[in-house]
Amino acid sequence: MFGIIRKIGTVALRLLAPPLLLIAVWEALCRSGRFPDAVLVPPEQVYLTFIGLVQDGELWDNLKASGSRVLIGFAIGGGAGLVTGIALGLSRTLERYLGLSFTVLRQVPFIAWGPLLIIVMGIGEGFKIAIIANAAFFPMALNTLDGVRNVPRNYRDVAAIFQFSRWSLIRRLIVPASLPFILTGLRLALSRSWMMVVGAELFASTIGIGHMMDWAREMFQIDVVMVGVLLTGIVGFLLDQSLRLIEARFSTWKPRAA
Amino acid sequence: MHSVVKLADAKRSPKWTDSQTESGSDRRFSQHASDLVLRQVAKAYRIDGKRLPVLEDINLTVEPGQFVTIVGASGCGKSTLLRLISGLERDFDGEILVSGRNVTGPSLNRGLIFQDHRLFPWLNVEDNVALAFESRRIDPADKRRIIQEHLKLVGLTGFEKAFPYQLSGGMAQRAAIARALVNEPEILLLDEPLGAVDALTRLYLQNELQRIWTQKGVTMIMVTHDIDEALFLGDRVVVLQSRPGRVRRIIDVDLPHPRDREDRQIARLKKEILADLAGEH
Ligand SMILES: Nc1ncnc2c1ncn2[C@@H]1O[C@H](COP(=O)(O)OP(=O)(O)OP(=O)(O)O)[C@@H](O)[C@H]1O
Ligand SMILES: [Mg+2]
Repeated sequence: MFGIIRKIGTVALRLLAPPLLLIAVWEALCRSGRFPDAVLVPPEQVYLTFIGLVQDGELWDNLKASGSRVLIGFAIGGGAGLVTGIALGLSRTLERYLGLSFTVLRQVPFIAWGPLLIIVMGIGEGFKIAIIANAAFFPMALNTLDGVRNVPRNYRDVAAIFQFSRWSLIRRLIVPASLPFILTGLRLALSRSWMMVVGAELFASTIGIGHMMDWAREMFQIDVVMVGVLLTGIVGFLLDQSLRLIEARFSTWKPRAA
Repeated sequence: MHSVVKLADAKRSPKWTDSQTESGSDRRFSQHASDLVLRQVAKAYRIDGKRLPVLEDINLTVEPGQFVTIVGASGCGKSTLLRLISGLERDFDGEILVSGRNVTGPSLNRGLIFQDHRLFPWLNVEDNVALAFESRRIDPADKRRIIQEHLKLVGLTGFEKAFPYQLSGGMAQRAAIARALVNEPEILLLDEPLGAVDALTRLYLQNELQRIWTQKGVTMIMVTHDIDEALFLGDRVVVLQSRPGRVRRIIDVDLPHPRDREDRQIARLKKEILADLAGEH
């Protein structure tokens, strides 16, 4: 019982110490008077701005807009990545034809797709979804492919002996056996998607966290920009952590260890 | 090199009729267990570009319903031979015929119990056994009942929901045996299935295998390193020599089943086999 409390305490300390230290340094720098308040907004001001943005609902609207883009883009890109990874992993022929192009394409930094996508799609909602989907696609596809390749041959023999159809093979063997890899892909894809949405909104949007920051920059409201930065970081962190938890849960086949 | 002895084995005619009620109406199997013929079978693996002959000149005829046991030194190609017969390995020379037809791939008609249990670690015992039904249409209630029956048979009642990591090696192997049995294959290939079980369970499972064999008239081909086991169960014992694996000798054990483990003829045959195997070194 006390062990658990102590453990929670340790984890909380480890988690909270760095940000608290950061805030302390930040506060100290502000008080030193070497930076004008307009450039380096004191923590308290950022906090008040944050409360204000929450209260007038602006933050929530922007978060919702970014969130739904991420979900749609991530679902499309991640789904396509999953299917591609499985297909490439299962079919020698497909891999022979597509393997090389795939390897070349994944070398393109995902930001670099921006200009091309803008030319093709303009800067509407479609563009943002596309660039997020693209960012989610590669980590998902690559990790899934790794997972499928790592399915032990021994298990495939079992599938062959019982004459699994292709669908049975995927459902009963390939997906569960590669699940730890797929979840890693999912986590990377989700955090890339989140980074991309903020990036895309920075230069082409009328709503969203990225847009809020860009607009505030133009208005020289550094406090709002900082709220955006912190919020982006925290949301990204939470997404990553929750998927890590799920990953840990599935990385061993010991459901609720006895 | 050796003579292929055809045993007209009329002692146990297959009794499919009484198992009909047991497994529902979707039995696709004929009234007879299949016969199996291997002609000049040879298999080589490639390791690092070099050809490694594993099996050579394997000739064997197994009558329907026979129990054939295979013994031989480690690495002589016993598992490989079963893989060939099962259809998992298609790249080989010679002919393997089941009921006169070439083996071109796996079939539910030929079951294989692997040397390692190969249960899927993310499925519990029950779901692992259910994998055997994956490509069959079967009523869910029948399926559950058949699985229950077979788990009972191998002494795993109560462990339906256990995951493989919660089982001992022997229990996992028994689950694998149940998984191979539920489809009631006509030919059952067993690769040291009792290697991981304790001595008592081993004797019990030997008797169970024999009972299943007698009851269902299934053809069994079992690899074992236990010569007592080979002689207790086998109508014929195939002794393989290694590098490359060839049939050194086929011994007909002309004793009725179930046998007396202390039988003098068995003791004599055991000595002969040991001498055969020792002669290799
Ligand atoms: N996939 C493979 N690729 C290359 N060589 C293989 C492969 N499988 C088996 N071999 C080789 O074939 C030979 C026979 O292997 P096999 O597994 O059939 O032996 P075994 O008689 O079953 O041995 P044990 O009693 O130890 O199980 C060994 O020398 C092994 O190295
Ligand atoms: Mg073996």
